[in-house]
Amino acid sequence: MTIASRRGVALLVQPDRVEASLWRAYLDMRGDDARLKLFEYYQPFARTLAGVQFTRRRIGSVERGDVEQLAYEALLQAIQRFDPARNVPFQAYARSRIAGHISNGLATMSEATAQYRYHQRVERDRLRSLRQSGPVAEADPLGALAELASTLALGLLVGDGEAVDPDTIPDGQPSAYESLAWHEMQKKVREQIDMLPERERYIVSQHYRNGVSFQQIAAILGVSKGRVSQIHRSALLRLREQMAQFR
Amino acid sequence: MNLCSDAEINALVAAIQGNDHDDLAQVDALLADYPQDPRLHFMRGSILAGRQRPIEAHAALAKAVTIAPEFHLARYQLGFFELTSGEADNALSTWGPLLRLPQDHYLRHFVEGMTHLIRDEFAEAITLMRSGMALNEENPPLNNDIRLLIKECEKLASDGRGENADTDTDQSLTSLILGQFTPGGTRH
Repeated sequence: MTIASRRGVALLVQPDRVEASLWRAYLDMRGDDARLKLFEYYQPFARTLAGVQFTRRRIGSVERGDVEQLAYEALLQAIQRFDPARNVPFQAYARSRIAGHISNGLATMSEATAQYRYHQRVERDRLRSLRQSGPVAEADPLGALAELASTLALGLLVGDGEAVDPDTIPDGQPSAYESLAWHEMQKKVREQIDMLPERERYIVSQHYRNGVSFQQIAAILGVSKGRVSQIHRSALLRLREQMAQFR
Repeated sequence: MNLCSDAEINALVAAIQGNDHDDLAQVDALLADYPQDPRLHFMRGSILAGRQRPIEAHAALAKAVTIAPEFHLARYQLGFFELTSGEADNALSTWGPLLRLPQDHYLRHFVEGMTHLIRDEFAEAITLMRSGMALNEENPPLNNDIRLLIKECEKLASDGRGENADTDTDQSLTSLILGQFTPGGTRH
């Protein structure tokens, strides 16, 4: 049990002071960890705003994930630009900016291509992360391909309700047993994710569960997108090793 | 160190206790003349805490302790502020020197009680907070706040359903940090 979750501490903790404490840490050090904590703290707020915008606009082929991406981008910018010394609540400051960024983003995004581009970008990032040539890959290209496929499949398992192209489903609806087996496997994967090293767990969770892009995770963590890609690869390979026990 | 007079401090405390909206301006005016007076920083921190300006409040309380590490009450309140901010580790670190106070100092008992509270050891927390209240002759209004806290601890200790029992207590406990300056509060 963490200190924050103890009942005695919970009795005294005041949310406005907790929020201020995150800002104090960020102002003191301007560090990546402090920015990450702020992002996590306000992420549900940004997601809610995205949901409101998505519902209100009833945007044809644009997915909720696209709108959330725009909300997260604006949230990051707002965190970096906000001056807590002005005594304006952050959410009041950020609300209009996030809504405006979503509006602008969608206006510049063709409805027909938004979903396609987003998924292409995400999949390209994932593939680049996993496809790293080396002596093993050169010596055994078929083995390398199988490895890549199984690691990508793990990514699919980790994803939370990601859309699947119906054309890629080979034959009809999955049976009840197949559905159950899929959900069981998803549960196991999630348990294994919780056992990953902290940074790997963060990247996998944010990317697959919350739909945060590599680019944005890189901005939150203060590292390059390439580094996020490396950690992502390492996380999925570790997951695959961990999952081998369930074969 | 150039400190403001007792008369000036008393006038300021009266302004704060009288809910004078000008109290922050009065503290700032005195601070312009006495920038190294830890009592003024402490009062400024307490006023700001009451106005929901927690970032500045923490800075002011911390400044008071930095200037006067032996200003025990300020140190206690700074640690308490950190605890209410969810920074239990920082609170324990801030309170550390108070554990070197004599065994019969009320603040030492309060801090030891809080340390047990942080660990959900409610029975020990209650015992120490009670003994602290009995020893506290310097700061009676602080006992009122501690009494409220004991009441909540007793609920948690007895029925284990305390997670949902905070609705009525938030308002009261909010005043804890301000116990010094709320009407009837301790005069410094």
